[in-house]
Amino acid sequence: MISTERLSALFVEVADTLVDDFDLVDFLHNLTDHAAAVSGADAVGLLLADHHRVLRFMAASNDTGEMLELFQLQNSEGPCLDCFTTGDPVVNAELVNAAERWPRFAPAATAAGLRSVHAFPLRLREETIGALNLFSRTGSRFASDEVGVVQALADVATIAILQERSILRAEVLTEQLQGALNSRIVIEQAKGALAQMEGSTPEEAFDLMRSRARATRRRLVEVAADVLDSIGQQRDRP
Amino acid sequence: MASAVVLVRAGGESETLAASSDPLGAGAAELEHTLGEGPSRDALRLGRPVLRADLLDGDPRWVAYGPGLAGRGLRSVFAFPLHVGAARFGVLTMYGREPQQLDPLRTTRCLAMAELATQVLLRSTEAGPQGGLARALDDAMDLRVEIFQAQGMAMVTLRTDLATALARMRAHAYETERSLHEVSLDILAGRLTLTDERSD
Repeated sequence: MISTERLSALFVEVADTLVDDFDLVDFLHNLTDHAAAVSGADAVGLLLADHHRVLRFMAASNDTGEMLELFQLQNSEGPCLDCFTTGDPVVNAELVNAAERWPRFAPAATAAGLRSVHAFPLRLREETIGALNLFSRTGSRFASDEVGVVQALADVATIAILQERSILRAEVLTEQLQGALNSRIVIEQAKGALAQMEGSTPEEAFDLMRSRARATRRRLVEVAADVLDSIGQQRDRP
Repeated sequence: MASAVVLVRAGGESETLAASSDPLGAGAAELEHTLGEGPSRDALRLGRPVLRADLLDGDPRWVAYGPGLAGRGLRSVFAFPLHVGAARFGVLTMYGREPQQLDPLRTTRCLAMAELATQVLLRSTEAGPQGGLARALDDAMDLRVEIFQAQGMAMVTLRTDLATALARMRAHAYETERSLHEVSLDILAGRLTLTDERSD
């Protein structure tokens, strides 16, 4: 199930991104892509908790991943929320048998063509700061050694959040988390604005911004802020 | 904390002092403005809190501001941006006389205060009767992504800025007795387009 070749590629990229100019939101998006490739999951999503301990959407490998995360947040139930609350992974959950556990989420995910789900906590010492969700259309099951590998991916996300020279500074977590949560809002605002300008969907607008960011080697949040700025400038021009 | 200051963006890139708990805080804000470096500016520019437990910890940031502020008897500084995504309103900066870490409880309190201040500033851009602290508190928790996407869309159709777009969405929600989230979903689905015709 786990592709070791892709796993090595991931760790090389992680090592690369952690050294120089680094953006947490971009990194977490890439991480969800990699987690999907490594594990063979059809969709991967990542949620982070804000200072109210309320989970918020941060990144997904595709629209399906984002939709499933948002559905969990809106309905206050699902594997990501359970994993966050307990601090323990949810592994190999079959959605067909989960209607009792998640009466709203399980039928919705099944209707979207998904069969199994896994959730792994983002743990920092004794605190859980978020969760990584993997969804599969086939009944994918992880063996116990594979569970360890996917948990390592979630740990990479936590390490990334804390990355900065002075990792021991307690304030870094607050700075990074709050920064990432606000970047996410900038990106959502720009998705809406760009979609309206281009007559596209917010998802298409997101893909456009993401390829612009890649082509110009810039941060996604900078590209998003530029979109909003340029609309503002056009408007203010007489 | 020894002192707290709120700076508000007054158009362009400049921030002006909106509120200060005492002259010490006002002086600290003035120092930052004069030197052109410091936590409040960094917090706004970076879009995240800038928390410094000890200004004399050897961190090379703010070569003039750090020792300058320490010389005035302030050793720790914690700046929280007042923003909603790309809509930036100002910054709340707290100063302490002693080096000190923000424990989780105090961090949460500071973030909650910044959130409340943001809501109040957001309200001040709104026309219309609704507003008030209770409603601001109600909405402070509503952080769903659909609202931000719809805000971006409404900014374009209304030819306005993000803060005004959100104010118009709230006004529409109030008039039609629906939640901000429901109005946002209608905008996203193309069922509702807010326009800048002032006939409504």
